[in-house]
Amino acid sequence: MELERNVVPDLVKIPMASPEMPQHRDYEAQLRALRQHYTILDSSRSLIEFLGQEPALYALLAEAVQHLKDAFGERRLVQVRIQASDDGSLLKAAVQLPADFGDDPERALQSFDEEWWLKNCSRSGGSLVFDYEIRDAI
Amino acid sequence: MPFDWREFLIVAHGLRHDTGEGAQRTCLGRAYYYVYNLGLSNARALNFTQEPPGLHKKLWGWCQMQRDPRIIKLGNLGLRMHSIRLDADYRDTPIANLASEVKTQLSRAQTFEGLVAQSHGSAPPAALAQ
Repeated sequence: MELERNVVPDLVKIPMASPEMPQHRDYEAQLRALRQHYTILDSSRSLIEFLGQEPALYALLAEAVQHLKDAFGERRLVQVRIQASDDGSLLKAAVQLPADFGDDPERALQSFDEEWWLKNCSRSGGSLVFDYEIRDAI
Repeated sequence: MPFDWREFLIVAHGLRHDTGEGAQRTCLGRAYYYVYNLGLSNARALNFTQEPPGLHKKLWGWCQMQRDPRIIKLGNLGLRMHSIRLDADYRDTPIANLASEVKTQLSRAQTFEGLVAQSHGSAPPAALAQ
């Protein structure tokens, strides 16, 4: 689905959890908004739980949408999944690229970093990873 | 004499053309643990004092919080390599394009050690033969 640039601010406006609103309702709204731009590979419940533990990540994912498009091109599938381990969990957002992706994907990632992520990664608490994955066939 | 963690990178590099999935996953893990130990040692020297559990995330998150752009880059590289290592060691479904992941992981390890050397004002270790 192709979305216009002005969609992103609306996505960012969805409220974070607050004492006035039930948290689960906020996170469900956040999840619905994220699904417009990301393919979520985990269950809604798992992701809502993760966003509840790391509330800064929603805004980062929302803000990243346009920067990912700028770096990797429009209409790229971006998969989001939780990576669990016995030493903590990460949330990974991976741009899916074809094997014949024209530009050097590391260069595209570096562009994403320089333009936005390096200035904002301090908000993630080491819990969010943006990367790409090369697929044999997309 | 302390263990030279770069031996892990040399092991990983030696496995890079092995087409067995176990070898390739091991390559991803060893390359990461080289970078993790190098990054941890570097951060300890800069007053990183946190302890386990969750030390991997704490380390890279701490790097991302620093003012020095080189340290922030180390945090990003380390976290991305950590993420690839998690798939290698915890995910039982096939990893798409594992050969590409190996190439990326090794390249990032060399970038990482170059940045660490640069932050110390020293020359980067010699690149491993292709």
